[in-house]
Amino acid sequence: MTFQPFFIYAVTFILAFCSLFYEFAFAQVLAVSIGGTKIQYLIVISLFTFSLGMGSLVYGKIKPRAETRKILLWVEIGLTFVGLLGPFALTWILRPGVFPGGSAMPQALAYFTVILVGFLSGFEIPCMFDLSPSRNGRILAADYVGMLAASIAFPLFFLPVFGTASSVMIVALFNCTVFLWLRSIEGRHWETMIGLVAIFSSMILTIIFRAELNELLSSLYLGVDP
Amino acid sequence: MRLGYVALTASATTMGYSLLIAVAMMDFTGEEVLTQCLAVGPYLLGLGLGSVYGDHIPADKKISRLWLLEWLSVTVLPILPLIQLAAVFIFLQYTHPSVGLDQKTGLAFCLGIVGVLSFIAGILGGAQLPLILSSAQKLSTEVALAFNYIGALLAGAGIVFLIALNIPFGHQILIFGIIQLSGLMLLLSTFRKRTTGLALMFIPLIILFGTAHLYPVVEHYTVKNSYHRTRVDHVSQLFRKNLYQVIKEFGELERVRTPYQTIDLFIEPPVPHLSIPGNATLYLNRKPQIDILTTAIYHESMVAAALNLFQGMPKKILILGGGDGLLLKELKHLTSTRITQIELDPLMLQFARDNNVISGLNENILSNMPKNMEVKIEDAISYLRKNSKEQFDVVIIDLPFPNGPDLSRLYSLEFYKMVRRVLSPGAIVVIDLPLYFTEERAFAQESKTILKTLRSAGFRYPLPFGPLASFVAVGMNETPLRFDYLRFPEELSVSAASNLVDVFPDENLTEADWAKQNVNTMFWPKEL
Repeated sequence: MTFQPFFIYAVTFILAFCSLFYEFAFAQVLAVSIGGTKIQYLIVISLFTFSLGMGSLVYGKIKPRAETRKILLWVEIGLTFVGLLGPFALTWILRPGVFPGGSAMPQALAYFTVILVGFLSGFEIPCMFDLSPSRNGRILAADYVGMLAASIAFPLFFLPVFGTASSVMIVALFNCTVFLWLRSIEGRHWETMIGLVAIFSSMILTIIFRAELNELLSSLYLGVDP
Repeated sequence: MRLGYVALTASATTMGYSLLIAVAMMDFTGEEVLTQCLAVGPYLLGLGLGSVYGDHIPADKKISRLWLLEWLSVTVLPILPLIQLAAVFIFLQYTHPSVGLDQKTGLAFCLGIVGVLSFIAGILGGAQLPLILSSAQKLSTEVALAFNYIGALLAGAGIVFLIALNIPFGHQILIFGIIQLSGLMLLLSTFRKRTTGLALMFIPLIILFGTAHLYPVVEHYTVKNSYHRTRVDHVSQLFRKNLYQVIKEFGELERVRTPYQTIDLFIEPPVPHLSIPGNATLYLNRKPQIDILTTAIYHESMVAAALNLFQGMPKKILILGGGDGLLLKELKHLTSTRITQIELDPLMLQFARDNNVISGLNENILSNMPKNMEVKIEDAISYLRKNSKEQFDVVIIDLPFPNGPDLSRLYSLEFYKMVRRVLSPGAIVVIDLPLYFTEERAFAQESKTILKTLRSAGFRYPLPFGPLASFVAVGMNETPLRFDYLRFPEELSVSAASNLVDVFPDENLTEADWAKQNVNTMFWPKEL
């Protein structure tokens, strides 16, 4: 199966953008819930880089047993869900009193989510290499440019314009688009069309209800409102 | 395994230096999220471009090029934080005194520097990895990659650890440099011209120790200069000795770095022939907090306002922040009131206890604490999140201004809602916050955002006051708060009394106007 180079680069760009974006959003939630923006960003970035590597190592082990496209399909499902639900889940589990005992368990769970996103993202580049073997250099370039774009877009555009909750939902919908593209290769055009309409509508709704979505995150943070 | 260790040190140190550059610049920008993000992005981009370059090196030159790149990294990377600091110094010299590093031009300059330097670190790190992978004959690619990724993990964890241990920045540079040198040493055995290699090792060694030694000196000059603001008109003046003499001799700077903030006390001598009195200013993260000349206006009026608006003798008072001890001093006369102070930074309390200037101002209250007063070392947010049972009659919030995301959370909807939970019926909250005005004498957008945030948290009638030092008082009341001027104590100083005046530039704003204003929340921060 051959792929148009433009699609390969665009998909790589989107995937890299989404992965680092999720991590920045998680770092933001961790900084709000635990405190210490500087420390949380440092921890998240190093855990992300580490788990990214671990993901590519594990991909090397499972590659002979599974089809690349299917691996990528599952990775995108996983990333869409973890990215979409991550900020809400993290805010909730890090609220005092939700977990009995100290803060060690919820914090470990929160950092595990950070590792999970990095680990799943680690599969993406080797998958893209395998889907288009002759374009490794350019795929890598698209990957790094995607990460650069995320690091600029998150603090300068998404966070001030949409807030944490809606930003991460918009980006998760981008991730979902890649999932649809991978499904469309099987020739399910109607399904793809319906999916695209659903994604577009969800994106519009997310933008319209951005205040409510961020309020939901606030309620999870505060618990019962006085 | 040798190359595995080199892979580990290469990624740990290149990423480590990129993070160090970001952390050092945060002191100047106050923008933690933006600075971190704009260091990570260019670093990763550099990593990618570097690895593309590394891939294109011919097979026969890989080992020698790897040695060269590693040598270049050990030599160049430690200088980057110093270059960054020197750039900030020069920028400050050339800009108008009103252009701060946290304003748009200054911020763009600082973030640009962080981006470029992180990109350089990324390129040097990225170029080494493909060379290590192709040179490692006994080491599988997976294991070499694993070493590389563990290095990245160690970089972040290492910096968190060094910050927590309060290790000076110059020493942090040294630690990363020594780790990197150990990798270069191991690589030396693979280098053909070992004697030349050994001789070349001295260059990075000298640069490393020189940078570690020079960094605190340059930092001292840069920070001090940012406070008393000498300026030059021409590049040649930068090389004149008397510029540095002026910076060195004018005033004293005492700097304490804590895991939470940087405390600076800048003491300016009097200039008698210009009738300028001497002063001492306490800065937290380079933002002025108190100074000798205005402290009476500030703390005295804050306490007087809170007690006046409460209409009675409070049984319990909560202070959030106020690590300088000056609010405790002002409340010393309330011997039958239980006073609890929540302060995040134990080193701030220690500084306020041990420093002659600050302990003189707070009359040594932190060393001789009355029995009705208690200081708890805790983050105000986590204290409020955990404690919703104990209630207070008066809450005084004396926290640093919202410069940066960590601090803007202390001015958020969630924070004010948590404050509401600890209020007794009829309680009063006095908040120290920045109020800015437009030329038309209306509240500036940032101030409207804070006032709207307070209203959204359930404080319907915020009372902004203080033409000299701005505060806002709020309560659970259903009618607007007003000062009872007959109840102010007679011993109140004139300067404090003159600050107890309402400021109502926007009193004609309707509910519909307020509905249009922004609310600052922890998850959707607004510009404050």
